[in-house]
Amino acid sequence: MSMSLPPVERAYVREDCVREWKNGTSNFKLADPVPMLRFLYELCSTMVSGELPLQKCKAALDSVEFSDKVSDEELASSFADIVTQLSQDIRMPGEHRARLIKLAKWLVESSLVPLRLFQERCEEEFLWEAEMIKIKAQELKSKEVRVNTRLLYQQTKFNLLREESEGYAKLVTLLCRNSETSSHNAAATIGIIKSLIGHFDLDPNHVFDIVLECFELQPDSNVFLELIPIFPKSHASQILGFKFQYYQRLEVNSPVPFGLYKLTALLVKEDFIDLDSIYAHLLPKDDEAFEHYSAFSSKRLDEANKIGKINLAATGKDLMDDEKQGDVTIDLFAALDMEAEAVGERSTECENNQTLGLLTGFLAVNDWYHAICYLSVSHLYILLNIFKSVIACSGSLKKQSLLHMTLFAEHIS
Amino acid sequence: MEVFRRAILQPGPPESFALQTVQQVIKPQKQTKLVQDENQLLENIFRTLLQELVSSAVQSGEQIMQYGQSIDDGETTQGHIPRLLDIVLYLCENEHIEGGMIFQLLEDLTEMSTMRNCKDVFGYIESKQDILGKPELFARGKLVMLRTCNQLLRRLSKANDVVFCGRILMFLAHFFPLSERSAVNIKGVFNTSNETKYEKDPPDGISIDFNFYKTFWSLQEHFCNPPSLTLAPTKWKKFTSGLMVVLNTFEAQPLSDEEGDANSLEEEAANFSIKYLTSSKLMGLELKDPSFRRHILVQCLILFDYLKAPGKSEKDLPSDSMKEEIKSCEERVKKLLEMTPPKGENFLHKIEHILEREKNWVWWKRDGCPAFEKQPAEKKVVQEGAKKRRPRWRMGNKELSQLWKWADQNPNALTDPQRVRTPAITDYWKPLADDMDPAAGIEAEYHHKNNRVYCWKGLRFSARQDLEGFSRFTEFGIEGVVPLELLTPEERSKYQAKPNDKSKRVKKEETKGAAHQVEENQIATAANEIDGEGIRAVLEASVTPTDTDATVATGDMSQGGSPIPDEHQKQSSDTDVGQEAGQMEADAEVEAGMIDGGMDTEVDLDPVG
Repeated sequence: MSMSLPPVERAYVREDCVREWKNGTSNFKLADPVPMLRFLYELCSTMVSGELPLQKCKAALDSVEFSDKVSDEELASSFADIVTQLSQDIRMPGEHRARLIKLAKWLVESSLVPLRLFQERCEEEFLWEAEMIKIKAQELKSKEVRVNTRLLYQQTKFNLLREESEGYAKLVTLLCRNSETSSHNAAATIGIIKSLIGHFDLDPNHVFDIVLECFELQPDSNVFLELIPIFPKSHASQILGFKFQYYQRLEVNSPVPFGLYKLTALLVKEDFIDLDSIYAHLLPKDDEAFEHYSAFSSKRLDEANKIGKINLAATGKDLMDDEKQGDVTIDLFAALDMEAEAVGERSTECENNQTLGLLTGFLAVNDWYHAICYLSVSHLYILLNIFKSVIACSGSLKKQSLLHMTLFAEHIS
Repeated sequence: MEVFRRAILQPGPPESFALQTVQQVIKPQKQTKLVQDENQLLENIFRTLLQELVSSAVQSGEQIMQYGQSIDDGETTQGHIPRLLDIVLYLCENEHIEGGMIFQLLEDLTEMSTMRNCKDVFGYIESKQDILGKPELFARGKLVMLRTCNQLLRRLSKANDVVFCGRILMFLAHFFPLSERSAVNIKGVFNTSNETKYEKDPPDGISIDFNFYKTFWSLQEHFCNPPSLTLAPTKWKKFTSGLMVVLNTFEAQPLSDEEGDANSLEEEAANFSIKYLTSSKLMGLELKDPSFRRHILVQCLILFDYLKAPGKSEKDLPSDSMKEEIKSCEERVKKLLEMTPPKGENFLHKIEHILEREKNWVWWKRDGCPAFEKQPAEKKVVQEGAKKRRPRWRMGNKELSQLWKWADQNPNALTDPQRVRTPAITDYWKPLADDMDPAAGIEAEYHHKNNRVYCWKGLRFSARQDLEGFSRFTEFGIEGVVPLELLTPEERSKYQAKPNDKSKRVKKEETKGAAHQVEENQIATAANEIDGEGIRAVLEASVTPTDTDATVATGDMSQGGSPIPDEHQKQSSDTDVGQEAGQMEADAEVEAGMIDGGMDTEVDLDPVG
């Protein structure tokens, strides 16, 4: 007993009142009005301690007048608070707690307190004991956590077209319409984009991705230059870089389309992204490129040195040997073949070299300033060392970019 | 709290008083940073103060963010609440107090405000986005901020406050990193809550085909929940038959180009309905709207894209018969898009492009939304890389590159009258000519003829500008190269009477046809050879005066292969006969030949000089 909290000091629920209520005196009334919360608190603790039976609660309530004017809701809320508070006393003796649970149940049964209020305020264990919930306390707790996380800490966002086809269909239709642009147009478009995001919970980052996509398809449309700044600059190069990553996948066999290089160059030119931040996404990486280049050139050097070399130590038998044949018979034609083969090899390499591709992008948008900067941040100069062969083998590049490239090569050499 | 109440009325930037005020109130144990319960105390003070300010603002009937604003001398002072927020933000940013405090206040503020006021509060949040997003603050407040935004979104209407909803979503997208897990919808949930309601019973006096109307809008229930189609074959049947009806109607009523000339975007924006409008009265008009058709058709393509490759496992793939149906529907839809003006073909092409790129995101989600951000190489690393590359100068080394660059950067240097030019021969040799005058009495040490660099440069000039003078080098050494007109008459006479190849040529031409022509020509050729070789020899030997005999010998040995200036070649072409045979004789007769032409030299030279 001594473990429990000190007994509640009773200012309003006095001994004589308790006696009257117990006896069931029919017309008993308290002389003076009492403050509601304090009175209820004392009443509840009296019942929990067993001094007043539960059945007499109604009589007690009927016999008082509250000094503060209270509605039924306030009364219910106060009861719920008091029960909740008492239920948190973990040192309460078992029999008291049993009575508290009975009290709570009775409050619900007699419609004094809606069940909802207890469910809202009491601990899960108490609710379980009072049979106010149907699943175990522990389960309820984890359910609560899940719901809470979903409601408060998860964003509702749809980031694939298929997840919100109506919203995204409207977005792409809007952005793919070819219309002449004015700043007024841009403002209207921005308004619609924000509304679409807001109404359909579209992921703004994916919307940004689609805006870039449509800019790539319509690089001459100025409206995009006004749309891009509404999205965070820090995300621009990452989203753009992700497009390059697509072409680095093994499943994707096609090289990066020229439009994407051009888009990137435009964005750098317009200062929407930093050259460094997009360069991080491109392949090959610097060290790979260096490695590849030195391997390639040493192989070529070896081959070149073999031309015309005759193995004087070779005996007749060696010469007849097919495998050794190569050593002896390399002649001018063999050298030409080798050249062609090497050019072919580099040709695919050029096609897949995203670093080089971006250079063509800069040249296509006439951004010589960044083209030159680009050389200093990238490993491209090793390609420029062999620029002639690059040009020779860039048959895969557009004619125009080839022309640009040639001009550029002349400019820098 | 009173202290802070006064503090927010104080003018001047927060840094001038904020920290002192905190120290005055809290009297902290440590100088600049508060311990935990001090923070708690301070937070309680701020929250209570904020609550009081909001309540007085509400009572005054003002917008809460403008409450307390005053206009002095045309300058608007901040309202009390933004002022308080600024001060707290300053303290948080500089880590004087717990960083999460500002977020707590903002959450309180949105919860206390009406939606109208929340727009202003959110405007404040947007304006401080960069500071709130700083790593230290972001870490302390991201969850509170997310909670605040989600609560706001829950209070907003999806019909009336769409732009505000959009602003909040965009703020979150900006505030959180791209790969934020709470934002990627990792399970790929479909927006099934996007329900398209439509009329179930035909209104009176209806002019449209109400069955068509119902069929048309019933498709949306599948568009917003694609997996339902793959799970239940009956649903797929119902969907395809409905879609057929719609496609048939679209095909039966193609749009003309005039109808395709959609309204200008401005007009359209004014009427742009975010959500489909489904009143049966509008159906007829909507069918004539190209954008509306496109919306539906693009939705079809997006859906087909999903059905063809729905998800993670192979077993989700559609059956063969379903594949066939999808394929034929897809073709029809694409045809329709092509037919829909304006520029249908172009539009279809763009949509196909976008759907192709969408694969990237589909795969990304299939693989569990891995982060795809890549940070640029650290600046330091870049520098290291640059160091490695530094030896690769454009012109081979730094100095040459610099020179090269200067030329590029200063194109008008060429026209500058002050620029350094190659001096005229006469100017250049003047010092040596002066030294050669015995009257000057120059000591050998200071004599220009002993300055090897001077002589070397001079020889190069003369070789280019005064071949005549240069050729005298073989006979007289460096002093012979000095233009004669620079010398005193006595000196001049030492070098004057000597022949040179030019005078020889003149003489030769004069005596064409003479009996000794062949011989002369041979001599001339040989002499020319000596000249050519002589230059080379001098170049090779730098300033070392070359022994004439040696030079001649070299000339002989390499005659056949040495480069012969065109002029000379012409001369000797008709006299080839003796060339080979005459080599040795030429050697012997050089001197004689030179002497022969002696007298003509002066006649020839004077006008030149």
